[in-house]
Amino acid sequence: MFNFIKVQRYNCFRNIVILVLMSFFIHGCAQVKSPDRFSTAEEVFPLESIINGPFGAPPDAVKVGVFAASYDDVFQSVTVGVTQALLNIEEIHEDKGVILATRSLSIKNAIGGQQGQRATRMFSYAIFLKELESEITEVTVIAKIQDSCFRTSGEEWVLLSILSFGIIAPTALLGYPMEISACKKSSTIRWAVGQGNSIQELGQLMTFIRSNLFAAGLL
Amino acid sequence: MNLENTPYRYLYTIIFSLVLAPSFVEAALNKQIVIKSTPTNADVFIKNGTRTTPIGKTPLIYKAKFHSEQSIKRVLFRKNGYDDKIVKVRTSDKNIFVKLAPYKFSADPEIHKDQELKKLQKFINPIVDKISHKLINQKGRFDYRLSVPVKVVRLNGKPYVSITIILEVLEKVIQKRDKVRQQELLQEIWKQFGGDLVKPLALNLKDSRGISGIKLDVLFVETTFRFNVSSRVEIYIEMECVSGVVNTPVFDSCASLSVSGRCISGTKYQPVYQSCIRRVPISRTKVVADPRSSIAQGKALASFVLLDSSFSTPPNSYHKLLFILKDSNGNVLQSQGNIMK
Repeated sequence: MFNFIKVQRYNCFRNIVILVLMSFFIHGCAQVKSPDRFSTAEEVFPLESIINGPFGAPPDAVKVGVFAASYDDVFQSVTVGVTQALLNIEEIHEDKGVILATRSLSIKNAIGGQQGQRATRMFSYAIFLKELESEITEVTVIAKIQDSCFRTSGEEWVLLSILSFGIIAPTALLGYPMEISACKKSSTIRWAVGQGNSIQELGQLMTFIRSNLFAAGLL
Repeated sequence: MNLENTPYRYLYTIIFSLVLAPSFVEAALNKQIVIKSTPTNADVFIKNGTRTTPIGKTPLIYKAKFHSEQSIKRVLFRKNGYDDKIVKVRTSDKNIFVKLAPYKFSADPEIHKDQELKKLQKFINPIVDKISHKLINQKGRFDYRLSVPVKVVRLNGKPYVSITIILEVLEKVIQKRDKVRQQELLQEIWKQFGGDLVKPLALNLKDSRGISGIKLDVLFVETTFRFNVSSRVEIYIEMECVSGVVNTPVFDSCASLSVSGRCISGTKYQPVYQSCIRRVPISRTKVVADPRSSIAQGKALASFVLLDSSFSTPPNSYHKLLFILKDSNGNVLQSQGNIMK
């Protein structure tokens, strides 16, 4: 009679092991990459929310230049300058005075990744033109970043806990949410400051705009 | 006031939309501008930065799109034989009328301090302007504009008429060491510019005294805009994690055994792997793209001199002239006689 219960318990345990192993094999040891896709420049800078400013950008993520030329002249110089600065133009709104662009960079030692594993850092730029006077135009560039990151899958944590007979379970209980949090933080869109600053590119873009206005004989 | 329950809520919504909408949408202004010029049939362009966009020939109606009420547009007028003119058009402008000034092919006599040159310049100016204006619509192989006024200069102490033409293309045969093609090029230059300018001028000057010859300088100027992307390596210090094993307290139901052999629970130190036990500074390198732009200019020169002895019978072939052909480095490729500087 009791043998029947033993068999049932054995079957239940076997099913759990099979399920865990199956999920392990389906997902494998592969790390989960986040985000699935990078946000477009328009998702990073929704037009209706930023068009009138103030942008609230920290000093390192913003660059402002005022040029003694008409709006049309500066707009053309900015468009050429953005391409010269190797940014990828995503959207041009000439009537609103907005250009949205991106730039991707391969960074080493990604968060959650293995030693030397590369990840992508996406820079998003919003360039705003403001006609101060008929021949004075202000150009503002703001930059945000989004990183890709890696984290261990939940199945892998479970499997490791089981295989280590609960020895690393306490570590896993703490480590797993911490890893998720770190990955989420890095893949969140944020201002390009600190290590992910874009000061050099912002300055370079202003130089290109000025050079183009010089070339047009306007400065 | 609770707007949701009032019958005017839709009205308020419309009013708010009308008041707030302009702050979000920068409405472009569309204006119609009538553009005229004297003389008519001048090419009209809109200049935006380095871009020049043709919009038609005068007279025309231009549908301008201004960014705002204070915006301006730069309009360029161009007609062969007349000076280029750029006009700033404002939103308030409905009619634009531009009078183009005829290009002065001859130099102002007042530029000369030498009284003899001043007198000769005054003498040749009506002849030069008469001939040059007739040339405006003549077409040859080379599309050219008389960029430098025709003037009297002193070469080797004698007065010469100097004509300078700038061609905005660097003929490839000048850069190659192909003598036959270079001679063909010299003949083509002389055929067009000698025939159009030098010969009529020489025939008009054949009875005059004082001019020792006519010097024709054809400058090939080619400006190329170069854009290249180089890369540079930047070194920076970064704190990096070092992985290792750390003894971590782990609860064990049988941490030790009693004398009687029973398990006693407690904390036991187990070696546990951690991905970041300490951070160490490591220097890293980063390859940064460095885009650079440059402007390069190539110049070559072909010069011909027709002496006053040939004014009445100017030759059709350049071989009977003094000539020189130089490449953009100043090397002499072809020459005959001593060309004066």
